[in-house]
Amino acid sequence: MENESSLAGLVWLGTAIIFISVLSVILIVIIHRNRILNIKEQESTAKLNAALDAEKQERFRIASNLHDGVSGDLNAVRNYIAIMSGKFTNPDAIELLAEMEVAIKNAAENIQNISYNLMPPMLESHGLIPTLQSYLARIRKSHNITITEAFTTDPVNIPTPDAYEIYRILQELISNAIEHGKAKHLEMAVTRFKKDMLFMITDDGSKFNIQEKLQNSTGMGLKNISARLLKLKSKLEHTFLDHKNISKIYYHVKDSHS
Amino acid sequence: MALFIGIIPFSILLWEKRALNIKEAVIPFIWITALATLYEFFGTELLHINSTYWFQLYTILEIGCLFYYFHHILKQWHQKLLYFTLALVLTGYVISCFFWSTESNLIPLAINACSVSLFVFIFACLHFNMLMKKETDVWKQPNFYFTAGFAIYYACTLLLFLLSTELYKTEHRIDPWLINILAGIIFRTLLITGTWKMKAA
Repeated sequence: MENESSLAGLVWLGTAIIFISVLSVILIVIIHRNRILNIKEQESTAKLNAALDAEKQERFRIASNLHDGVSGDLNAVRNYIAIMSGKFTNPDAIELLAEMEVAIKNAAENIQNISYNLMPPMLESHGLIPTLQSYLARIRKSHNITITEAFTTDPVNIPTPDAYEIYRILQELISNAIEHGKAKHLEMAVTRFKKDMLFMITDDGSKFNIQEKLQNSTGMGLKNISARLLKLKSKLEHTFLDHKNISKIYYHVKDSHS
Repeated sequence: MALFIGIIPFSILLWEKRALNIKEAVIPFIWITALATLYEFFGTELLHINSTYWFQLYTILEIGCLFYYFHHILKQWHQKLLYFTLALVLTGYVISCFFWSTESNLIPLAINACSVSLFVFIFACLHFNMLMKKETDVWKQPNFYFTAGFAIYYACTLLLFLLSTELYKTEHRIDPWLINILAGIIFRTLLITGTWKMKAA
């Protein structure tokens, strides 16, 4: 009788030990894999941040060269043309010089726009909202589109590096809406939403499924949006409602006043 | 309950119209699990057919399905070891047939439990080793659930089947068989989870 109980007990005990051993092996596999995945994710994030920083530095360098170098040289040429205009009496020559001055002025403006798009100088000196307002003003001038703005009057304390990434995301979204969506009307709103800043773009362009495009696109623009959102730890929501594309970016303000 | 949940993985495959897709390594095993559930209910419970025939037949089907499963998931690795171990398992099976009788199949059960469990342990460990080297999330891999299920079931029931002849002589012939039921529930739950993940993959 006792032996029978011992046997049954032995079977239960032995089985429990074996079960715990197998479970331990399985847990080791799971823990090891999770550790590897975390390391890979950290490496990937570090590479991503390095790539975005390198891109930012390169943009700054090119923008500076364009502004200080090319722009400066074009202004110098304009001055020479102005001086030369005073020395000629031939009406044809004067007209030609005037056309040259206009062409060079246009080229200088284009260079300034390119430089500004590459690295907006106002971002560090004035902050994100004035930079966005300036950007939207230039969009109005250069494209056939109406833009309405609604910016919060609350102080917006976003660090410059994050402001730069948000600016780039909004720039890419607006650019896509105009070029690919053929939008004719665009609304830009920046408001507080609980502890977040909400950046909302509404456009009347063709329907755009940004989540699908972000996953499937091979273009650099949308991949950069993904990368920047990851860096900011922000989320992008996109809906299509009443024939309008609505994109919302929620940015968590680290030192919120609310 | 432990019996009837064996039909769920097969039901999922039927629903997804993948029951005949033998490219998935585990499909044959899901088939025999469903077959076993149906036989044990209709054959053993309702018609009281002698189960010794079925258990011996089930063992050879089980060996075949386990070999198919590990052969597919390990792909080009460890094929020689796989065939060598299969030969050992089949040798064990042939030996168990000499001890088989219509009155009792506990000795063949013990012999086959030894060899099949060894087969499963070796290749489950190799599969886990392979999973640790891959850069994928194990929770999303259906084969992880299947291999874990096999490892847990055959580990938990090894001692039970090895000592089944002695246990049958005692008054405690029923209680330890709860181990088989519990292990079966865990195994079939993992089988269902893995089949569900296959659907999502």
